[in-house]
Amino acid sequence: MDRDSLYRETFPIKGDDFERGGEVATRVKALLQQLGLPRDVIRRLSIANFEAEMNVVMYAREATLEVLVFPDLIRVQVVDRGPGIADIDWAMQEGHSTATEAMRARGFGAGLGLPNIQRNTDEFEVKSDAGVGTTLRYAVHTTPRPKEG
Amino acid sequence: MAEREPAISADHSLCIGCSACTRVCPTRALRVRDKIVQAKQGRCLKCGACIFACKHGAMRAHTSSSADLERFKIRVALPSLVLYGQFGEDVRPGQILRAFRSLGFDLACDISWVCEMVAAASDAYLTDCRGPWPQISMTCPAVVRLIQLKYPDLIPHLVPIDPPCEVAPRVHRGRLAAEYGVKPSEIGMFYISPCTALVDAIERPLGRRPSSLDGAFSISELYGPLLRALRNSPDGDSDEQVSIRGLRWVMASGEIPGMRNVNSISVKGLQDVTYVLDRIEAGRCSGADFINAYICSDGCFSGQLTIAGRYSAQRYLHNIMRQIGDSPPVKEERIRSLLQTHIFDFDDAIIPLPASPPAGDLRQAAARQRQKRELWSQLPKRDCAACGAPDCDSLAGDVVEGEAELTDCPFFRLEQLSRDVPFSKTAACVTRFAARACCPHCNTMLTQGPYLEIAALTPGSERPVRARLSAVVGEIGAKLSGEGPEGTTMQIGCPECGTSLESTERCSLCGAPLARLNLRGGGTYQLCSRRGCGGQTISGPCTSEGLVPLAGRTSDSSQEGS
Ligand SMILES: Nc1ncnc2c1ncn2[C@@H]1O[C@H](COP(=O)(O)OP(=O)(O)O)[C@@H](O)[C@H]1O
Ligand code: SF4
Ligand code: SF4
Ligand SMILES: [Mg+2]
Ligand SMILES: [Zn+2]
Ligand SMILES: [Zn+2]
Repeated sequence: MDRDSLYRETFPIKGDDFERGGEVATRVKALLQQLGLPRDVIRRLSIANFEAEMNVVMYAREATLEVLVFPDLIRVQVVDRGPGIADIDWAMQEGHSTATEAMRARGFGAGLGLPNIQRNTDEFEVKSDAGVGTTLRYAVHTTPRPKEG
Repeated sequence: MAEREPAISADHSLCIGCSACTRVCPTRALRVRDKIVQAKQGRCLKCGACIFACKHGAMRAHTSSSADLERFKIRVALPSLVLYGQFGEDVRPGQILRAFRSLGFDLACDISWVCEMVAAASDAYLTDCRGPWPQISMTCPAVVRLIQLKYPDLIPHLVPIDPPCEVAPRVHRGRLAAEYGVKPSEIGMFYISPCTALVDAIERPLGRRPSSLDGAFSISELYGPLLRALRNSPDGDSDEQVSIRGLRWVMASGEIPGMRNVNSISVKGLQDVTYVLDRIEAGRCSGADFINAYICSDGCFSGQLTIAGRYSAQRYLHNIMRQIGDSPPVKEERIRSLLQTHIFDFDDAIIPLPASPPAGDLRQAAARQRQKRELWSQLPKRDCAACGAPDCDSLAGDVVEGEAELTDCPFFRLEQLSRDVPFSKTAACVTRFAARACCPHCNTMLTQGPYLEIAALTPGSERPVRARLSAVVGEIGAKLSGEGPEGTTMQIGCPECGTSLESTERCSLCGAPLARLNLRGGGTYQLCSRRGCGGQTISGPCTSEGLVPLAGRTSDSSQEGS
């Protein structure tokens, strides 16, 4: 499927780098704006990218966020090296979080990130390998299509 | 209204094309083309960052003229509250307002009450507002334009209430017309502005409705005349007319005092503003319901058209406020009845501005993006602005748009020059070159590895010393050593034959004479004779004999082309 992507670009994210947290989401947003995508698509992807990026910053060591542009959808893959998510079903529920006090003090850790990514995307998938890392794949359709589920 | 010049433009007779301004521009609007700075259409926020950045005074603010004043029977100055902090803590607002009478104005009206009322009106609006949260004030036009350009999704967050300088004429015009027995249109209302953004918003309103002001002057241009007037006749009108709540609103940093809505904050400076807007857009701005955002780093106190330093101006105003004491708040009924008149309303829609030309087809847009990335990968990623674009990414974008060429980058050009050297074919364009230069008189090769050996005579000293400097082209450390302080202009000669190497051309960076050497195989290499400058030029038909890539010392910043 990657073969017929119109454009792809990879962005590195560093764990623990709160200083620059959100930068990748901002850069991707600029890219999507230059591609002239509908504002709603950009908005939903920006929300998802920001949450995914901040999860890497908070919980993982490092990651790459890859953006793939297809004629009818934008796909994003965030592959991180980190502890992985022990119980994905648990983590996917609103309000569930393992964030520390310090992270909460920065306004993160409400346990809404992953559910928010799912809500704002048309396709969503999490895979995790304990001790190795987490892979997040999501996509937003650029041409209107009824959303399943 | 007479056609006025844009609030900021470049004075081409002063611009030396140094590209300092291109690097500070938040929207990457500026380019140096043909040694002169130009602005890309539709991108300028009139934030004034380029005025600060230009050391040559070439970026100019344009305000009203005295001819503009003369078109009106009654001329009214409406000074920004920042003006009250410009003359020290012993000069009271009443004196400053009074002083305008010796400057060709019939009177100056205080707008602190209007500021208080705008704050109260915002409060009232927020009470009934149903989101989206947080709401963002429209006080700083540069922030509004930034949102139009880069955050169109945040437009519904804007509180549709005009800034005090727009509301003030609506409050005063009718009353003054009656008082002076003239038509409202015969009253000229001129804002005394701390910044170019507010001046610009008069000529190019944010909505479609024309501004209620008739023009503007800057605090900086009236500072001198006001100071003189204050010295000559220091008496003033009474201070009772100043609203302490209004002053506090302008001074606010962080939480805004006096708003019933406790979750209000002031955010100042481009960096913080973009940080907050990015987070609002990502749905992650917790805490605040209302944000007063200013593009300038310390709000309007740090506008480019002010005089007193922002810290002292704020301290002065603090002390002035303390001396005046408290003032009774504007009565709620008055605010409520004014709200009925829609005097505060920004009654128009803010429309998104296209940041880049409409992309049309996604395929084409993606192809352009691919092309841009490919071009970018050929550039050295120094982001040095020597090409006239602010960074390598912008140059690549300009090339895609057909507005520039890759060869505008001097490093890329050098790379091309030595294309026939096998080594550089595989290296990315981060190769460093040594200039192999010889004396034009005795033809001795003066380059030894990465160094150039010359004889330098410091003025006042007896004998020239042998100096060794970097022969690496473009290297920032290619500076002359020798005696005396940095900045000394030396006489440079050949260490072999002793002949002076002084060129007829001068350094484009500092104006000192250049020393001229011949490159092996053709072309000339000139370097600045002033210690600490490092200016260099290369001209003529250089070959790979004259510019030699330095092996093993290429930058590691790119793994591209591998
Ligand atoms: N990339 C990741 N690596 C490891 N754990 C993660 C990752 N992303 C999320 N988690 C886990 O899932 C939980 C829920 O994530 P999320 O819904 O984003 O909420 P929050 O970040 O507020 O805790 C996190 O607290 C964390 O334990
Ligand atoms: S005023 Fe601001 S946005 Fe406009 S060109 Fe200058 S720096 Fe750029
Ligand atoms: S390295 Fe070249 S392309 Fe990049 S900013 Fe400098 S001159 Fe421009
Ligand atoms: Mg999260
Ligand atoms: Zn010689
Ligand atoms: Zn020089």
